[in-house]
Amino acid sequence: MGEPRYQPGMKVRVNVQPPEAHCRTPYYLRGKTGTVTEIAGIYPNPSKLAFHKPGLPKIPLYRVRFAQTDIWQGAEAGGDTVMADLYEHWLSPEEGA
Amino acid sequence: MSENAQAVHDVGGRDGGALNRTESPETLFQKRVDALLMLMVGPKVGAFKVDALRRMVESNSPEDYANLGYYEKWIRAIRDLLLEQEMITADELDAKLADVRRRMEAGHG
Repeated sequence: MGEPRYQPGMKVRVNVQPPEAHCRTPYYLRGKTGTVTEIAGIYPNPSKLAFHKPGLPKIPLYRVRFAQTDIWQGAEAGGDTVMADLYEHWLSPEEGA
Repeated sequence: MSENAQAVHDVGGRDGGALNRTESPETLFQKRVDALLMLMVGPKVGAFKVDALRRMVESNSPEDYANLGYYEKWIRAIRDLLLEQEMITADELDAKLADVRRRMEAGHG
């Protein structure tokens, strides 16, 4: 994988897709929409490292901010957020956001 | 794993019940397991990555995941990974465990 596809400020949606054998994307975030706050780096793929592979190609990791009210039913509208580190292959551009 | 299944370790959003907030001192067992892991993932040995440790820990059954202690899960994962990586054999492990058991029963473990 080459250059990061997303930049800070972009809205992204977490994919609902079959998890790989060693998945790092929390269940409660799947299908949710958040905002990229930074590119955390480009790292060896943990789902390959977990099986003793070098983890190549490396993949971009993003720090994504979600509103609590977008994730939890009944969350108080106090502006609280959740930050999560998510790999690029779990994200899609949020259309019309 | 089936489409979008919630894995055993992925507990965010689940009702976990009351939290046990009791502090307890570290045990020698816990320190030994921690030290063993550091040696196994360190540059000198490099038996596996922490990602592989997590994979093994997360492969526990829901019952074991809930009931085993944190370091009990670690030492089982380390055992399984050393076998998987063929750094030790099952026979060697059995022989060592029998040896340790004999020494413990003799009273100087």
